[in-house]
Amino acid sequence: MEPAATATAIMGSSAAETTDFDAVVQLYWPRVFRFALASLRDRDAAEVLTQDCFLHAYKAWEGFRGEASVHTWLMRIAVNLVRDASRNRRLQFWKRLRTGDSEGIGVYARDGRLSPEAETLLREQIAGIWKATASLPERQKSVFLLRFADEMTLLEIAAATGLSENAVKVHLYRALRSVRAHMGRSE
Amino acid sequence: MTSHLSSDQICRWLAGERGYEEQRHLRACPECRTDVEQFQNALAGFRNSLEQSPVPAASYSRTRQSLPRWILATAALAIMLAAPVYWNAHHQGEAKQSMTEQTETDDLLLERVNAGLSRTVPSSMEPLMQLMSKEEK
Repeated sequence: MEPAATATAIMGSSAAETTDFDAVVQLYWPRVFRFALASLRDRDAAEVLTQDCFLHAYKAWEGFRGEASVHTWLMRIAVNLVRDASRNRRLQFWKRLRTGDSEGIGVYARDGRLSPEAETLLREQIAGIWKATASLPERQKSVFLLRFADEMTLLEIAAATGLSENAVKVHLYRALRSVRAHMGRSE
Repeated sequence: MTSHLSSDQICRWLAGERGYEEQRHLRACPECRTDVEQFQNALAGFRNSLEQSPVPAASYSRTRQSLPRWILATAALAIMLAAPVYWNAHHQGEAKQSMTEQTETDDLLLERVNAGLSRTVPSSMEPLMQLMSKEEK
């Protein structure tokens, strides 16, 4: 099966029908890594967490019945690992040391369609969003990143976090309010 | 239109709480629509900035075990059991060879002792005894 066809099959069908775990790793590795990177703001920790995520997934792969999509299932594992990592005191220590250091993330690619003024404003707003996400409470941060970094739907976020859809909306609203305040738009 | 959507209303809108009043206002008010679009653009730029970060290659070393653990454990146990057996066999061979050499040496020494005991006179007197026996003949 061609990689694209494999990817389509995995995204469109339950895991029970899919036995090619390598294709799952190839397809979802970047998404899990980016979520981990935005959550932890540490490339090494994000890579280790991504490896752990797929190790957990591999061990549970045989028993996965496809009640959720593979993507939602993987992100649920990643959310739990991020929560555990955030509670890890050692990691907290390193995170404090790295305050303000985004490890090369948040590099905005220039959009040639915008005027220089608009470009500068957008760049400042993006920097504000990065700053805001660093200070969000854990649950708000996960919900915000799943929605705006990974583009999951509210229902998918609910499945990945174990929250109700309404609770997801509340966390998302609070996160957006904090982000908007960091962008200087809280009036 | 005198009043615009508040920041809270815009945040609720983007969080998925899409009330009819807000929807109607956004259709009618270009200023609030621009505000929402700018916020959405910033969020899209945030996602774009994350996607610019290089992603390390997927590592299989921890996601896949090259051999099941029970095979590795069995192999280790087999080595542990086989090593003393080989050691004993090797040293038993050496001991046998050493014992054979020792026996040969002992036999040679015993022959010399017997030869010494069977002499009637000391070896230094033997030429004299041979002369005396010739004269008697």
